[in-house]
Amino acid sequence: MKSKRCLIAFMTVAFALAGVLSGHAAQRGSGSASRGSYQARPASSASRSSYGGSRANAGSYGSVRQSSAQSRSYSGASRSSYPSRPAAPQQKSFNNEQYGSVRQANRASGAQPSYNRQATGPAGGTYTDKGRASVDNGKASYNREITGPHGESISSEGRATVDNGKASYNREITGPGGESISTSGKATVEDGKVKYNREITGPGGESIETSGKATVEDGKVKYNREITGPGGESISSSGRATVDDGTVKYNREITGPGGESITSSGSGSITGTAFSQGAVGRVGAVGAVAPVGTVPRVGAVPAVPAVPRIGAVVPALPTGAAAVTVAGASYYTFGGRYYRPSYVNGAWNYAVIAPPIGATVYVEPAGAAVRVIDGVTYYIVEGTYYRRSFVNGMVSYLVVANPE
Amino acid sequence: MVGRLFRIALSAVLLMFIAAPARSQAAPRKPAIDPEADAVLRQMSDSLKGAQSAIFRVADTIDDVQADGRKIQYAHVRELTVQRPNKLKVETRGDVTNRTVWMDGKTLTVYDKDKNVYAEIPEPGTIDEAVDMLQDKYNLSLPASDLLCADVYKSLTEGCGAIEYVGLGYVGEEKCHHLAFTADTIDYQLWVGAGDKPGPRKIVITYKRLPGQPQYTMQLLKKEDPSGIKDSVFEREIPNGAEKIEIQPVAKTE
Repeated sequence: MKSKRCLIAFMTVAFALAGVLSGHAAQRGSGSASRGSYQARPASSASRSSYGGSRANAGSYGSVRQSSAQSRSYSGASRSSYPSRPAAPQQKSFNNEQYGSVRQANRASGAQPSYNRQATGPAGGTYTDKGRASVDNGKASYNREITGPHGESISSEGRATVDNGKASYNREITGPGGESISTSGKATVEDGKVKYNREITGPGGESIETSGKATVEDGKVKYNREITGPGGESISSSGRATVDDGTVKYNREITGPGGESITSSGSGSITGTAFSQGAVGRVGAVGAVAPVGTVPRVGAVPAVPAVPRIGAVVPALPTGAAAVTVAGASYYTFGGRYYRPSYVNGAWNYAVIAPPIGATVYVEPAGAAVRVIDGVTYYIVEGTYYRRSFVNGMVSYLVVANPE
Repeated sequence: MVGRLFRIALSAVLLMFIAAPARSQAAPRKPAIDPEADAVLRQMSDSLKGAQSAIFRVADTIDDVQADGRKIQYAHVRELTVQRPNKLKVETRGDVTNRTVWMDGKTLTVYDKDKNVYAEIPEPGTIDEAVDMLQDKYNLSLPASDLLCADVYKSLTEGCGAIEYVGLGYVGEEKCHHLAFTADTIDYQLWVGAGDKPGPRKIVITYKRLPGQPQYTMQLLKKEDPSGIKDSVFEREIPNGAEKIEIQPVAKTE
């Protein structure tokens, strides 16, 4: 459970980075032959009986016992313990059918994720939004350009890395007049503790710094955060939340530059699949993931994973919500729920909707009723119809229109 | 579970960057091929090209990289029966996948034994066309398909940046030529029998762009005499009660 929470915290950081970035750039391979330790080649094929002399020392491999001993001698301490064993293969959603063919992998290698969208503005002008991204062994980069109807453009580019619980990113946005805003940040996650700092620098060199810490342990979360403006003025906030037997309680204090403070507290309960708000509490109030285009609160405390009812509107997403595109439309999803963002009266809200047609899950939806209609088997959960289908080579459950 | 969540997190990072990933084909380029490697590769390819039919049994493994970097390895055994240009049967058994693919010249059928479901793709064309179509249209990899294509030399060199002759090495007790390939998203190694039967013995593919750089390893277990292959081998055998389902094409959103 603890490792799961730690992972959720890690995902918070990942999503924070994802929120910061919004596309990624192509990273090309070197194109040259790899030069590992198998360098030397024999003088001629006729005379050689083995590899050249400068190969890796084959005698250094092949024994778990000896490798473990070497590892201990390097570090002087045993390695940190691993989380519990993963699920048995039969229960996994690992997609084995994405591997194993050079021809197919090389064929797909030109597939740098990219997009090019057009939209019509309120006054009828055409806006284009295009970008490219790549993810390579935990390193992501992107670039993106939005061009308005009169040719004015905003471009942004950024990079992010995630390595062993440490994340860092930087991003630069350049406006139509060449003015730029840059952002950089770092975050670490270790044993349920999250730390981050971030700096945003404006066109004139003015900067805003933010730093924070959060811990998650046995259903109790704590955080504190400080934002420092260009003139040194600061706003700090701290809070706690607990989850106990389905009841969530939190309190928070925000202190302004002059020492003035605002406190808030609340509680809520989780019953069945619905999260009923308490008198004061607000779903996701502590540690929400920000909407696309804004910067998520990296150090905020992960929210309690509530499962709101379909039809509800919540002011924030649960921590860990993933952005997905289904049939060209953007949603967030978490815990089997889909959230459709809308911007109303200057604030983002999220309508909890039934899984959209075209959405896919890789395991049978929990609690599904099975019905055969016109010879086709449907899996029905809360009025949503799923049909089995091969998707990316895996037998999956695809949301389809109500066939009745 | 942790691995799955990690993948979800990484997928989400990617998805938040872009709403509409699109695929495009890599421009063909001429790889820098070591002449010695080229000779081995051509000899192997010619030996496979000459055979109109073949029966291979291979064992393979694939790494499932966990969130903490550990690699969990899954294993499969595959039996491939080929009759060029358009008949094929690939039977897979193992840790994750238990399925059979048939091509009878008219239809490609994928049957998932664990879920007892199958899907059909009409008119898949030749084996080469089917392998490409499965990748391009359905994002479905056919492991070991590198042994199936009509021109193995072309399959292994197209999209590749460089090929190096590493030396003579061993696969089990057999001495083999060891080649190393470099491409944009993968590196791969091939071992080719150094004796009078210059066929492929082992291939290792490293997915160097993926977190943890998972490796796929396939080793030839057995090559059988194909002279007795009957057409009925390629006719699908779907058990009673199996459900026919659809196979979804890759979304084209650009």
